[in-house]
Amino acid sequence: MRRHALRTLLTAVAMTLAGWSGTTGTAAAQAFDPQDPYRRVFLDMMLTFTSAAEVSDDWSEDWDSIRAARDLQEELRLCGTFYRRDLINHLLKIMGEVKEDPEVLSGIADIVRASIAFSNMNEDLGKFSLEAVSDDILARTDIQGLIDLMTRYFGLEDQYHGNLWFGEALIPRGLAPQRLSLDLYPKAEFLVGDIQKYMSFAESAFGSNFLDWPITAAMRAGRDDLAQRLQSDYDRTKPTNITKLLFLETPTAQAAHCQGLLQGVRDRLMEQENLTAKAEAETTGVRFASWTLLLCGQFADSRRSARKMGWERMSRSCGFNRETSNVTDFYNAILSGSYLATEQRKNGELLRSAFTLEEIVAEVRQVLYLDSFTGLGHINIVVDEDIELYMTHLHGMTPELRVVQGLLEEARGNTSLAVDAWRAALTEDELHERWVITLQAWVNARSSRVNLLSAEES
Amino acid sequence: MNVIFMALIAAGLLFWLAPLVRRLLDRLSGIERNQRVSVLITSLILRGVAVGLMAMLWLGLNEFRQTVPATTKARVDVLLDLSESLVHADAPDLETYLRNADRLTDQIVSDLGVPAEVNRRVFAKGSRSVGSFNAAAAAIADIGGDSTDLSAVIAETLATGAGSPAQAIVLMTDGLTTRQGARDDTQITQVLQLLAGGRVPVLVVPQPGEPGFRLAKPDDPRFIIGDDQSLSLLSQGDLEDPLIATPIDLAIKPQDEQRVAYLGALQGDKVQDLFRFTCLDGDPAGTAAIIIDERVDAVSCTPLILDQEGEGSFVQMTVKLDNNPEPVPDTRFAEPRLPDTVQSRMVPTMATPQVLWLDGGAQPIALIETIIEELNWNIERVVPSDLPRRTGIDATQPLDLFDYDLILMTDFAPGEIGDGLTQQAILGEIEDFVQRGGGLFIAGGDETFGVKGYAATPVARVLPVNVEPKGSSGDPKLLAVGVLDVSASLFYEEATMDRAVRYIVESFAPLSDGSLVRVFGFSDEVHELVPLDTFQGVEDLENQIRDSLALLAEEFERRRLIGLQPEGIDIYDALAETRRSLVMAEEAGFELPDERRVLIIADGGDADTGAYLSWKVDEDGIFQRDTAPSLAARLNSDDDFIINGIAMAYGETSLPDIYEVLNSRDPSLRQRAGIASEGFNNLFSVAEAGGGIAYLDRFQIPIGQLARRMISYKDERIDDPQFNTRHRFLYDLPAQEMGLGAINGYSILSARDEARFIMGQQDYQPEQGRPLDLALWTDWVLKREPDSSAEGFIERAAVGGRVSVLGTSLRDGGQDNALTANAIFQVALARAFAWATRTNPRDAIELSLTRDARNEVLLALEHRSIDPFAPTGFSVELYGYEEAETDLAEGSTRARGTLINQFELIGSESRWTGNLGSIRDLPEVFELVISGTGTDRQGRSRGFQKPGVVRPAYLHLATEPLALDAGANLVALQAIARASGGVVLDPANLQVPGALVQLEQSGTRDRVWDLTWALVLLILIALVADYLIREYLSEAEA
Repeated sequence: MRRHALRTLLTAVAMTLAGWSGTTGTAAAQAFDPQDPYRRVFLDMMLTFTSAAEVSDDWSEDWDSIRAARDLQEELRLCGTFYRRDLINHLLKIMGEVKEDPEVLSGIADIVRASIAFSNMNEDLGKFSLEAVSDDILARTDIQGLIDLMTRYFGLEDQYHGNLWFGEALIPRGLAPQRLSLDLYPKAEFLVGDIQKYMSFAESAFGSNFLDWPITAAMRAGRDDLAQRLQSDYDRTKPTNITKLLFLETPTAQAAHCQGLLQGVRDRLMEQENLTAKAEAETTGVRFASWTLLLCGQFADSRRSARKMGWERMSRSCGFNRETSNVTDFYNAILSGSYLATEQRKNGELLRSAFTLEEIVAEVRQVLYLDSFTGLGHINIVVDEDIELYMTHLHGMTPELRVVQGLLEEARGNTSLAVDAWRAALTEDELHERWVITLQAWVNARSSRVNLLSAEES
Repeated sequence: MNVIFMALIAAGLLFWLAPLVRRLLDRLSGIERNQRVSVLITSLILRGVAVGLMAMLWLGLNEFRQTVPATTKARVDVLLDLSESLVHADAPDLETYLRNADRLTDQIVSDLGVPAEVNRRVFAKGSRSVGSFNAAAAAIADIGGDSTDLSAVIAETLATGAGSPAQAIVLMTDGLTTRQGARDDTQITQVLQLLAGGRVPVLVVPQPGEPGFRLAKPDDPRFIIGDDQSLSLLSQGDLEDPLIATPIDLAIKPQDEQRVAYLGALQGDKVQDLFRFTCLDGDPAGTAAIIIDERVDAVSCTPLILDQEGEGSFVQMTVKLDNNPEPVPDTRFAEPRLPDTVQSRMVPTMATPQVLWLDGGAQPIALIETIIEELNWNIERVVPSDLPRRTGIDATQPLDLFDYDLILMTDFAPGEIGDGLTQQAILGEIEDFVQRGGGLFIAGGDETFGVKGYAATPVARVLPVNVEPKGSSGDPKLLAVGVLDVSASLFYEEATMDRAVRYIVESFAPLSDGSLVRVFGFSDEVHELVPLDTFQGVEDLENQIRDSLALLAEEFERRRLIGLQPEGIDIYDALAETRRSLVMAEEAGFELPDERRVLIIADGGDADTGAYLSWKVDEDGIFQRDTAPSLAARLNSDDDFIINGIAMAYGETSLPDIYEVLNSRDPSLRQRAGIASEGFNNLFSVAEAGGGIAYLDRFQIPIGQLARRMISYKDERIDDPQFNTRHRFLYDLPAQEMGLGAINGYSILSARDEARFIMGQQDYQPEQGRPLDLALWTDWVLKREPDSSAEGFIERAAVGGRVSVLGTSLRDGGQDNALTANAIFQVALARAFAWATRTNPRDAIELSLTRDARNEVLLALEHRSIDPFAPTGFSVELYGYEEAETDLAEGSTRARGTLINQFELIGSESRWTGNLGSIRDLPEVFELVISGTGTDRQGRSRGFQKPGVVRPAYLHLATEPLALDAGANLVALQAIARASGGVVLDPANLQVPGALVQLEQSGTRDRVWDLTWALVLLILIALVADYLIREYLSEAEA
């Protein structure tokens, strides 16, 4: 028994040290890894720990479990974020509390297993794992907390499918944590699920401060009346809101509204003493600056802002305050870049425009790669909402945007839509010869997996 | 005939059968004789033998032939040198020399291992056969020891040995060939020609010429001929003294105790006023007494500095050992009491260098004037406005370059030298001048080395540097892309940005006409500064960049207000953008040059923040990691771009010496260096992958180097893969305290193969000998090793040549921190001048006066001139000379004495001789004046005069004076051995190669025995035997 106590003490010391050093260590130095942008290895480590604990009689005496726990701590130190830290701390806490209870331990392992299956886009295996956990265990407060933190992690890491399937598995059983059922699940339905299912949450979700999605969702679902109503609510609470642009038909009215939006951005910036992009990126307001600028037709600045923010986020990908919006930043940069290319073409800089388009296409390929880690969690909103609602409404469709649209449709598996988009871009007959050749090749091959003109080719 | 034959045969038969016939007749006549049959048969046999032998004789069968092995003998000629450089009839050890020769001969012949016929021969001026060398002492008087005619004796030996089955020559000589008491190197050439082919191998036994063999008094000190003294041993203080002569080395028989010798230089009456010298192991400069330590056998007195302000150009050297060192002897040796113990020789003095200064500047350069003044040389400054009256056919004061030893050209552009013809003529003369040994120093800038500079002129051919002017039409066209970092950290640093722009502009300055230029700014996106177009000149380029940057500043200010100011440079995208220049050029219809360069100028503050984007996904969705260096490598290999970079250090000035940084307590300086180094590392990896180099913004970047890399680096890289490191900027930059001014694009001065750097030559050690003739001066090779003092630096780094080029102007105002005010630089420059003067004096007269065996004083004159001066005659005048009783007043000259004698010398070109007559008829002291006349290269008459005071009593007997103590001429001897297929043997350790002389012993010959008389004898014996048998029988019957 004395030996047992000593080992517990050692374990505690090791974990404390690991946790302690996490606050002062080199987390910020951890570089962004495009091959594991969300650092999925984290989940696997959780599973290693919980599985080892599950099969041991007393995991606090089992070296495999302890080592796995320590690895998890080390990973937290390397790439800790507030939501991962919360999740792991909670996991360790309940693991310590229930170490005498094999059923609970097994339930925890199943939940982690389900999470990994979801993050690997394996819906069936994940739901199966969740079904194996009894209602009693799921209903425990500490387990509810675990699920809550896990789904929060999914939400922040763009794992919308995970939340969708957690919701689908738990809400019918009445065992979903509140945040999942009221916020994360509807959001997932909106982004990667069924927009109609989301509509039932449209008026209640997110609270009144975040009305963009309900409004656009209503528009996408064809419920213009609802959209109008929500918008008028929104206008009341926040006059300088973005979705209002969707309801303003005349360019003059749009421009006038934009003035207000941009002034809002500037005002927020002016509050900062140090007017750098870094400072800008640290304020949540600026996150929308690239979007605002894009909507308001300031494409070059919008692209700059988006790219800068993308780099900024990647550079602190493991910071405590990490946010994983770089995919959104990419998409914003691509959209604004496509209009920038249009502008350049119309200004007579035909070659520069072609180069810009080349850059954008390269970026599209990059973002599709990154987005594939979330199961293309963003592509629907970009194609169906950003392009379909905002872009065409505000700036019209251009050949360059059609090129992007085609690539995204191709990624969603709609090859014929993609080919149509490229063909439409060709018929406008304004693109640089380099792109005419490329698009013809794409159309002929019914695929963009033909590269005649890479950025490096000459 | 037949009847005679028949008769003879019948007679022969009758003689043979006579006993039988007689028996038959007896039988028939019934006479009974008591004669036994055995006797009859014996008689028949004997007579048959006799008849048979006679028949053989008659038929001519009187020879016996036999084939036997043939044996031959080699001819070995042993030639022993008995000239005066080796032996003297009165020398105490002469016997040893001769005995040694015999011993060596025997040993060598036996070692050769072949049967040999040995011929011994002694030679000097003539030669003679001797039976044994031991007995050859008497021959010395006959063969004329004052010359060594090696070629004659070799020719003679080869002639007499012709036809012998094999011949070898054993040559015991010192190889010092002389004729009429003077060295005659042409003999060696003749000997080599005679021996070429190796048919007759020569086994050379070098004879070093030991004093005991050749000196009547070997214990006395004597002169050794030293090598010409270069300036390399000069210390800084020596530059005050103007004249340098051949050093005097003395050989002394090792003494048991410390002794004193006196070295005298007799020129007029005062020894110590005439010269100063420093002898090793001896007193410091200023006295004629030399302390000779125990067991020292040679003393080197060097350098010997002669003051031409004295009375003549010749100095008669004397040396004497004081045999009685106690008490302390006289301090001078002007009046030797024992003339016959003294040897003497004449040494030439060097003329004061004449310097021609072609100066294109309005005012003289103070530094040059100071240096020349310190050197006490004569200088003439010629400015461009002087040229019309100094050059050309109508010149009133024609300028003859060959009147000078050194030409300085400062800021003297070819354009200053008149029109094309005059210019080419003068520049051609300068080239000729340098080719013939004249010194040249050129300092200049753009006009000198730039477009209208000395490239493609005759002068360029003799420069130690490659002059590659910018924009010359012959250069290949380039595509030059400048990438300027316009990120906030650099853009808002005004001074740094200004420097960066200058780097681009100056690097692009040498671009040739028709080159394509593009300059774009890059942060995270491209900002076209100078759109791709043909190169319109530097000014246009700079204006475009600055205008574009001004516009960009407004744009950046707008962005700054919305927080979107430019951030760090994304090198990867910048390189990708660079590659697009090719598409742009194609689009615009330009012909794409084959040579392509990129110059990236970025700061180290936040290099490559966009490295997060250095990955891509290909069209198949496959993730691909890519980095800026690998893209750079592709740019280099696929598109022929060569990428150079400059890492800027933010701040007012570029970085100082790295040691200064390391030792600095200024944190901001260290911070600047640290940040810049980080960017440098980043840039360096990219540039290196791109086939180029990156520089750190340290001092003034050697922009000429860079510019040159921008235009011609590619080929150089192929030629010399090590090029990168040699020019790595971190290593070779001058310290900032040198105050080097900004260097413009002109200094595209790379060293030629033969050239070395005057300063900063790495690893140069004085013992490597004199540096090469060509030297490079550029203002970036100044170098200070951290572990060397200022003096040590000079000692090691001051390496110069006859032609020097300085790639910057010397007109920097001379302020405290200016280059010309730097002490190290000043001394180095002075040395460069010193080295740039000729290695041989102009119109040098080497005079030797010798007393021959008849006690007549012979004069031999060696005229050495590197000018195209052709002497047509020399005349000699002898004047009486009297010692002045009082010192002459400053500036006044002594009146010449009465003319004693006057005659013309006989000779041609460089060698002239004369006879002053018997020493008894000459005064005790006289003044010798030699006047030479001749023509210079323009055909103008020129002349000169050199006087000297001579004391004939000090002259030693005529011998081979110039060769004494030089030891065997091993180079010549080795050449002889090599040419003849022989070897040089070490007398102390003879190792004769066995197979050197090959005799053909495998042949056979016929041996013929003449049997005529044997047959006759046998006939007689047979007849006598027959007779005796008959007599016996007769007695028996009786």
